[in-house]
Amino acid sequence: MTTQDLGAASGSIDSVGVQFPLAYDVTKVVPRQWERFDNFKTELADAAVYVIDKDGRLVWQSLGDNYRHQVSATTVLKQLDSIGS
Amino acid sequence: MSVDSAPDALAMKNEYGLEFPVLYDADTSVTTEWGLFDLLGDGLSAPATFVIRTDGSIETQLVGSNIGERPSTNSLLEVLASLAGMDSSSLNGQPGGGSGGESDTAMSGDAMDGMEDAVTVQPTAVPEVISIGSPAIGDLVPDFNLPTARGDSVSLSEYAEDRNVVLVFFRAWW
Repeated sequence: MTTQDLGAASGSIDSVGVQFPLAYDVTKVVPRQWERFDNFKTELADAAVYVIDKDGRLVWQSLGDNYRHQVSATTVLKQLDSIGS
Repeated sequence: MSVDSAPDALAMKNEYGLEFPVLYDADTSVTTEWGLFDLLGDGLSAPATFVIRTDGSIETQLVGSNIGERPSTNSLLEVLASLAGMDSSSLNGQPGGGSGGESDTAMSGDAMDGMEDAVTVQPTAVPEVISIGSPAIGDLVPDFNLPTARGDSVSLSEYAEDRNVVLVFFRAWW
């Protein structure tokens, strides 16, 4: 999920072969609700990765201190394995 | 709910003969907590419509990107009918079923019969369910429904009881 307008980005998404939904929230309501917007004065959603189980509960998170924060796929897969994906 | 004063809210209620509660939030505390106040930089609450389930959780929401962007009555009735297990086609022609104009704000009437439970709003309970603030491990996370780059929409609740979800807040680079 990003706060940038992806309404015209379908071509770019096709070119990189993204298989999962890329949601966007130009109103910034969702990242504000999650307290992940503009904490570092970038006017962007602050990078974060959440793992949510089938019951809708947060089971793991990695919160970045800027929009560049990333987590390795291996780390995320390990968390998914731990909850039985 | 508006950020109008009590006299202004009462005047509007009387002018349009509204039968449902008209709330005012003159100190903007509620609209600020919901992340709506001054969202559009106009010193007002952004237009926003929430459909809230009987358990207090949000079924769907639309936050307008301008002061005139609001859902039609028909689209709201379809959501409410779905919640109530009704066939939305049965609502055609009912009062309040128009697609624009003043009827969009007049959500009371015969078309709402049988759906009162689905639209009961309990302001004191809702903020707890929306869980404003960073969710902690073990918390139920707030649902959302957002457009996607492919032109459809996605919500967290689509995956409930089916799949675990990895949710990433990111900056796009293209």
